[in-house]
Amino acid sequence: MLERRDFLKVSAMAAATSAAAAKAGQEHHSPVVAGGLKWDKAPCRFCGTGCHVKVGVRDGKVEAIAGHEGADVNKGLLCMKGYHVGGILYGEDRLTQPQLRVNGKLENITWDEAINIMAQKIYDNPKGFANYGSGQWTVPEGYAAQKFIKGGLSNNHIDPNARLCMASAVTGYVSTYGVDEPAGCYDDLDVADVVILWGNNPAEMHPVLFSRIIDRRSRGETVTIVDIGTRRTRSTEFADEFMEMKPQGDMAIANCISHYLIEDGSYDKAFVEKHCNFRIDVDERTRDLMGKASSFEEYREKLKPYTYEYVSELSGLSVEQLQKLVGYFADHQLKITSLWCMGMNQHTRGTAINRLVHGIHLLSGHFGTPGNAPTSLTGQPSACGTAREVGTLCHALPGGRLVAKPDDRADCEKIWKLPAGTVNPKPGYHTVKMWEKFCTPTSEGGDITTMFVQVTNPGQTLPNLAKLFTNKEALKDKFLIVSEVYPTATTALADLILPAAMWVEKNGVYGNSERRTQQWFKMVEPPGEAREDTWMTLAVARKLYDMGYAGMKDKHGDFLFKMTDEGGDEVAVWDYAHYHDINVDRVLYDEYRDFTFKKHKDLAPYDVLAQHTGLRWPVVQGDDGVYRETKFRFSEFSDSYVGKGKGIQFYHSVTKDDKAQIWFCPYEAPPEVPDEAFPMWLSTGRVIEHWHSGTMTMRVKELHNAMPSAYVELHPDDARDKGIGNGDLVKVVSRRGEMVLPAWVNGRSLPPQGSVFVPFFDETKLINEVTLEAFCPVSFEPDYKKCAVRIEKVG
Amino acid sequence: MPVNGLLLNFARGAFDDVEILSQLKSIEEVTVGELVGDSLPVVVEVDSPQQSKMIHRMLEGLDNVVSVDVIFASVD
Ligand code: SF4
Repeated sequence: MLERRDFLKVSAMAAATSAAAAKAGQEHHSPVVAGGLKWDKAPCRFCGTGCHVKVGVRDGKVEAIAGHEGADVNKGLLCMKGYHVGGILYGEDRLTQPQLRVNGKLENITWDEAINIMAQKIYDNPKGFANYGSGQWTVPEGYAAQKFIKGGLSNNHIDPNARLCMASAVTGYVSTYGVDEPAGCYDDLDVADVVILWGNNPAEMHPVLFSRIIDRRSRGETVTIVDIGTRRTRSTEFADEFMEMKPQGDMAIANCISHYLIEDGSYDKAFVEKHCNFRIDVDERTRDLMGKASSFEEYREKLKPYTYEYVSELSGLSVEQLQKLVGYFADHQLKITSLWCMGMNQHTRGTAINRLVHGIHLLSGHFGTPGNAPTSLTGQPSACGTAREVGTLCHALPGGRLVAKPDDRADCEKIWKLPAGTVNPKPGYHTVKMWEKFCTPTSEGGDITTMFVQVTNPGQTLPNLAKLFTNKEALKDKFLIVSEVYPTATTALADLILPAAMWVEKNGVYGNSERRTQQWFKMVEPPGEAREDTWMTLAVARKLYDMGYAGMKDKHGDFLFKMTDEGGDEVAVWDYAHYHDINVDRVLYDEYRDFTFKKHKDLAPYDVLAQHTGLRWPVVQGDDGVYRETKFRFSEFSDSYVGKGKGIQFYHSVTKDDKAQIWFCPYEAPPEVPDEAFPMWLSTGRVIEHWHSGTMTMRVKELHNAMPSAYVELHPDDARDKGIGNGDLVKVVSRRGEMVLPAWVNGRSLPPQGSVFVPFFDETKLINEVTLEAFCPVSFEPDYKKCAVRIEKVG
Repeated sequence: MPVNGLLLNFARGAFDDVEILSQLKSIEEVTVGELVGDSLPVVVEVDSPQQSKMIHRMLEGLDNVVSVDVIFASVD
């Protein structure tokens, strides 16, 4: 019998050899390991890249993590977060017991008590109940929450934290193509000649994806990386060209490129005539999702002011840099992929800049062939799968449907077996509004009285925390329920805490940034009394059903979430003793799957998915019965929904003529700009070691030690002028709040003079007390990337 | 007590086995596998995350090593 350390060594060598073989394109076999380590597959718990890991379990504990060499996304590689992902389960302060706050103190209670309290709160005021979730909800968790709120309570107050990170990408895709999510996929990065990073830092945020690009160079291939950003980052180190832009300069740059493509006659006339229409906002004040029709002539006219000289002034890019960008897009031989994430999405004109970048690709014909794609990336592992596809946004329904559309509501009522008219046509509150209503006294119109938070940490990640979160503390008639795995800034104000199972402690399904749906099975038991979030939703729903709440019955009088075993007998899945009698994930997922066909987002059946490391939708069953994924959407050579001979077909076109929309959106200044009192820009973001608010990664000692605390990064000249040295404490002050952080000069990134950068992972240094809650009028996504601050040396 | 499985990636065709192997053999914590393509699998067995980081840096600094990928990590 091998000792633990010996078999870990054997496993490590087998995994590394296997990955080397995969890298060299040789046949490889999964490591077969003696010593009782059982391996199974799962997507990484962290970013939207969606790497697949192999999880090694022995004696009920995760003992090892290896990159999955058979996974298309990562081919055996992981980033530093990924290979430490197993450690997130074993932090010392896991929440293991439901807790109720009594006279300011948390007391342990039973699950029965917790579910009763929650159900009573909802029963007393169903319209005042809201569910705030995330892009970390698994697909079945999000689907259950969606059905509970929109089908059971008919109030639509459900929104994910994904509102804070990719809502602008959604509105950009929908208003351009009539349907959400990228047409291209990661394969574009294997063949693109030019990769343009629009305010994007994949070297830190999507490291495995970025190394997929960089690895091409070590194979002797040429790939040009252009980094357009407001600060130098780790990605800049690998870029051929860094173009430092002023905050919000991206809109002017995009319009400039389009302007010269037209004026120089280098746009792709044939592509535009065949596949594009033009669109514009209704008027200067009315910014909505679909705007109104425009024309090529009007578009051309509106672009005329965006000359090199004018845009150079607005954006900070030199005329030569702008000409270079135009030159790339004018060259029809080049393959160009644009990547973006929070830089373009967390933007008060987030929808507009998304549309403009799509517009450049369409105008220049850099679309629809491998290597030519405008592709947004997501920060969370299932922002696409759960927030966007399941539609856990306050205006959406599953499978790309909308609460405002009668046909879409009718589809839901049919699948959910609900009486006609059950689903409320009025969108619920989006994230900022939802928290504003929760943190406003009921007597002053704050009509959200009970908030249920799952799988996210708004006490750290909402903007302008004092207004949108901390205010709750003084409001005695508001009740905050938080399902969590560790104590957080959110549980600090919770009235009821529900201990949750996480990652491989439960079954799950995620959807990554390239339309890839990934499934995994539970591998270890959650600690103590921690339980699945899906179970929490089912248990509360059942309690309401037992209390006689009509919404929890379908039109036949059955429980809304009725589930049966193979023999057709109902299983009491709301009772935890029976929750695992059937695979609840499979039941929910396969029910949800019925929603995915209307918008051609077809998912594979659960059992098919379980055999793969993810499949990209639409997953279509061939005549031979085999389910095949789609790499390039809307392109005939890849997408079986494109009509024969069409080449490219935007089959969900807004204008119903199979064409995409090229939008004109004018440059606009940011909502808050530096002035005498607050003379510097603040941008916030992430670091490679930590994932989002650090709840998980700060508990892994390797990651914690590598980056133990947040900092404020500033330009060396600004530091010198203010007499600030490395490690000195600096107060960052805005109109909303202040935060003291140690200074980092000549650190990892280089903000330009007059600006500072602060990461948000550190719960002891909540930079969101300083940020601004201004948001895009179409996507309602706030701008965390620019507000005005001043800095003061402390002491 | 971390056990890590790493891949040392060499510049194309630049793996000089005698030189590299003797350098690697001098590092007590490293067990060397067999070269596949331009990548050499190794296992690093150390006592602390700090030591693991130190050795990772050392490996990155070896002649002709263009990158070091972590493929496997034990969970302590
Ligand atoms: S790149 Fe993202 S998904 Fe891949 S291992 Fe790192 S954190 Fe996980």
